[in-house]
Amino acid sequence: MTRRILPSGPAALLVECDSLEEVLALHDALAATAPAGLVELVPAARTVLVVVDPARLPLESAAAWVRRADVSRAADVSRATDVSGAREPVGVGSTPPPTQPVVVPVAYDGDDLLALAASLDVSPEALVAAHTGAGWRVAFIGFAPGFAYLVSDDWHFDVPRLSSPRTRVPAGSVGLAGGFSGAYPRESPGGWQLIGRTDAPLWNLDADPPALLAPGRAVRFEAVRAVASAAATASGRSGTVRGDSDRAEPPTREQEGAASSSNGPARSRSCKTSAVRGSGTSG
Amino acid sequence: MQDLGRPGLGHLGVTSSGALDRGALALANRLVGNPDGAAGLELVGGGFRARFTGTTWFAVAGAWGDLRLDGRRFAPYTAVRATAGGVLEIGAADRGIRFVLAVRGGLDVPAVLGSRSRDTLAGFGPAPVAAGEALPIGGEPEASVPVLDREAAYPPPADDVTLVLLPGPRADWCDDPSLAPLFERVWRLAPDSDRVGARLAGTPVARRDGEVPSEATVPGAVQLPPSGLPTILLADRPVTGGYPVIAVVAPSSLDALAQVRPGQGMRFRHA
Repeated sequence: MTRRILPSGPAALLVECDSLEEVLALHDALAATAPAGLVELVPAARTVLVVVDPARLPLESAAAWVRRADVSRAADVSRATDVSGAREPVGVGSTPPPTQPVVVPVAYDGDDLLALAASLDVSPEALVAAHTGAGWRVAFIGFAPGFAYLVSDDWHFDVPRLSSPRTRVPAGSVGLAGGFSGAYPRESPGGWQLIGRTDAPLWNLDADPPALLAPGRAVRFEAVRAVASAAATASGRSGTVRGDSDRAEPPTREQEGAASSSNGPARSRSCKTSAVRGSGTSG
Repeated sequence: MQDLGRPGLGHLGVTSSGALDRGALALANRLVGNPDGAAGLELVGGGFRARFTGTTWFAVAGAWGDLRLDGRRFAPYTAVRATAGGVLEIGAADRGIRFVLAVRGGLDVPAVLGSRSRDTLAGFGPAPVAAGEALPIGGEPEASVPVLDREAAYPPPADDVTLVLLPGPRADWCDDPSLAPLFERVWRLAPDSDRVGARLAGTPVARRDGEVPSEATVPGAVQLPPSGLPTILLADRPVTGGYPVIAVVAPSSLDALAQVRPGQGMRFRHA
């Protein structure tokens, strides 16, 4: 494993990892040992940005702290605390994410679903079953506030971005790009292929944290026949945040596989970043 | 409306925002006895008029232009006392482009995620101020209005602005010869620049092909898209971007950059 520390101005270091798997593990390890003077940790596809207050934490000290970070130990901590239901915090100043997955209800009627399924040589039903059966985890948030990049060991499709991004993607749209899945918290342009829509409150300024899908959080998608308009959903989260035990239907084969890994240590995640590209406007 | 922003929320996709000319906001606030981070108005280009409904100290910093209270000119970068009914007029900027208006007590609208800054890209924080709107002013701060024995004038330069560059994380996407235009030529600020990014017009900089996986950026990050024309990411930038960041504008130069007018020249030098 290599871990390159790159300069990013006088108050930040960009730590480059070999894989998204290592990003997740490093981020957890750093968050668990955050020193005074750390302003923020921002994980992304292949990097963790470490922002400091240089008056309190010199960059050289921060670099030494990053070099010392013990990723294997962080994974052990993560695994151990999963048993008790607690987890190490993954964002500076944030509360630890609950271990139970957020359940996101999705009406699978997205504009790209049929053509995408055909291009992937599966039926739309099989694509939806794979999406709902997979255990997802929030790897990082980018593109827009609350826009979570979700990864899963159980997801094996590599979905190209649209050749020409839509100028207007409605809020609540659920999409796929590369090995990621995600949902648009608000209307914006976007190039992900849309497979459905959700009314989950993805971004709520009155909630703490305001992002429903904060980094590290486990997520499951659940097929529903229809959802209310995404604009009418700021009524709290309790309706969509449920544990797996609430699920009434028997798990499919994919779901069983997901259950064993969705809360697992970060280093068990696979690397699915090869198709990540584009700027902040490509989401 | 801007204060010093909302740092520390990048992992949720929330950028820092805050005044582009942070020094001007801090100075205007200090002049009226406010904490540095009290919320004020960032007025692009000028052309602003407001009536005070009570006795209020205020100060204007940042850009340089015709400032009047009840029709009489007053100096920039000084504390000025308005009485009830007093009319403040800020004319077009002659030097620089962003006036910063601070009032004693600060502007007191509800904070969003700990800040009264408008995030123009994400679309939250106080709505842009509209004509006819009444702006609430907070209570008296603890500090008194400081007595200064001279005027402190820092007009932004009228000619080329020199900005200091530090190496960026993807500096290796350009070799030394291809970086030469960045440091040897004069760049101009493109008119489609905003709080998200400053676009540069000039001689393109050659770089490696491809893109980097999306990664988090800092204010002042100099992104180099395939066109070879750099964009400097500012306070309202997206948290992550996929163009290589070849350099970072030193924080000490970001305030100067905030005052560059469209078409004005910029030069870069190594830190």
